[in-house]
Amino acid sequence: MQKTMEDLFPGNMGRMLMIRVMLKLRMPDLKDMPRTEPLDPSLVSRLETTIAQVQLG
Amino acid sequence: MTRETGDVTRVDHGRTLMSGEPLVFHCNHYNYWLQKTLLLPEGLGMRAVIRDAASSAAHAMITQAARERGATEPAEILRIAADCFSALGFGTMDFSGAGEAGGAVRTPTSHYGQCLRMASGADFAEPQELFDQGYAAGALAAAHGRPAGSYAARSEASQSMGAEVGEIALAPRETPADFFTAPGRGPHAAGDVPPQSPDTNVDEGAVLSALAGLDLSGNEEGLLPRFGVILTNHFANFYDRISFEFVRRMDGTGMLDMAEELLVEAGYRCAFNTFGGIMTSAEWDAVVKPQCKTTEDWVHGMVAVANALGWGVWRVHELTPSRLVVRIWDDYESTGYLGMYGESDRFVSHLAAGGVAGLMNLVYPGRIAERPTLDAEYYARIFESPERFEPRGVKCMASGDAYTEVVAER
Repeated sequence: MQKTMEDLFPGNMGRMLMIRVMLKLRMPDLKDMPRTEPLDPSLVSRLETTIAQVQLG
Repeated sequence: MTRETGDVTRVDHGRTLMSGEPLVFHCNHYNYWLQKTLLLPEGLGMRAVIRDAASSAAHAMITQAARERGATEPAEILRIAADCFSALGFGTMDFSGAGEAGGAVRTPTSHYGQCLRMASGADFAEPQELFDQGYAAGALAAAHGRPAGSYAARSEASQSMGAEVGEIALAPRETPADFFTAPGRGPHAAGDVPPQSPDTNVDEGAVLSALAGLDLSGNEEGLLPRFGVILTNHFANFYDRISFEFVRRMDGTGMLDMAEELLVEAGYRCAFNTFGGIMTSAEWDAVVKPQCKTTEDWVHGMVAVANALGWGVWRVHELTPSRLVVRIWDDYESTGYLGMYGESDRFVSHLAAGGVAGLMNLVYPGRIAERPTLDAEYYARIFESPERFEPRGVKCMASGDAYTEVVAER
C-alpha cells in the first residue's frame, strides 16, 4: 500500500517532524500536500531518508 | 573552588550581566533543540554564525573582565577566560597549547560536547561544539588584544562524536567584514514594572530571595547539573544573534513562519524540561510548593522562578484554567533584537512564547503537581493532547510596544 503524508507525519509530533524535513529539503510545498492521498514512491523514499537524518542527533 | 571571573552585576528587570554581557540560564535540552533547528537547512552558513556569535560575546566579556581584574598578560587573561567558561557551566578549557599565532585549545569537559547527547537521545552526525570553538577564538583574541574575529576555529576532536577530550584548532585570519559585534545590554525598558499579580498565594520576593542563595555556577568539571537538566548561564546575545540570523536568512524561502515555529518549539522543549525539572525538584518542594494552595499558584510559582533566570520580568496578567496572558518587560529576545537590528516588524520573542505555552501544558494537561516522569512519552502525550495550549505573540518590545505579551490558550 502506498504511503501518505499522514502515514509519514502523524499527529502534532509528526507535523513538527514534517517542518524539520521541509526545512532540511527546502521544500515549502510539503505543507500544502494532501494528507491522505498516496504519495509517489520516489518521494516517499526521499522523505523517509530525510526523516532518518533529522531523527539523528 | 576559587575562580577569577568578571564582575557580576544585577540590573533592572531581572537581568544579570557578567562584565557587561547579559546572561540567561538555559538547559542542555534547549541548547540541543535550538542548535538542531538552526543547522537543519543546508547552505544558510549557520555554523559560522554560531561560532562568530560565541566569539563576539566571549571577546566582549573577557576583555572587560580582564580590565576589572587588572590583567594585562595573555596568560592571565586566558586564565580568566577559562574560569569564566567553567563558572558559566560550559565545561573546562585548556589554552596551554595556544599562542598569538594560534594553536590548539583542549576541552576536557564540555556542555556542548557531552550534555547535548543526553538531550538528543541519538548520535550526532557532526561536531556540536561550535560554541566552544567560538569562545576559544574570542578568548585568544581578547588575550592578545586583537579584534574578536581574528581567529578561525575548527574542531580537531569532538566529544559529541565520541572523542575523549575535545580539541579546537585556532588560526589567525582577517576579521570578516560582516563580523557580528555583541551589543552588550542593549536597549531596555524605562520605568517601573507592575507588581506581581495579587491573585496568588505565592510570594515572588521570597522565592527570588531563596533562589539567590543557591550556587548556580559550574562544578569542578565546569558543568551545572541542576533540576534534572544540565544548565548553562549563557550569553543572551549569543542566543539572540543565532536565532535572529536564522530567521533573517530564512526570509524569502517560503518557510519563514515554519522556521519561527521551530524556534517556539525549542522554547516549548525548554519549558518542558527546565520548568518541569524545577517543578519536580527538591528546591521547589522546599521553597515554592508550600505556598501553592491552588493549581493556579503553580503557574505563579514557576513565573516567580522564571524571573530569576535572566529572561526579563514576567508578570501574569490574566490566568484561568484555559488561558494565560503573560506580559514581559525586557525579555532578552526583544532587547537583543533591538540592539542588533533595530525595531522589528515581526514578533521576535519565540522562546518566551514557547515557554508560556509549555508552562500551561505542564500545569494543566500535564498535571505536573502529580510528579510525572519527564520523558519522551510524557512529552508526546501532552503535545498530542487536544487539551494542549498554543501560544500567540500579541505584543513585542522589539516592535515598539512597552512590553511583550504572550497569550496561551487551549
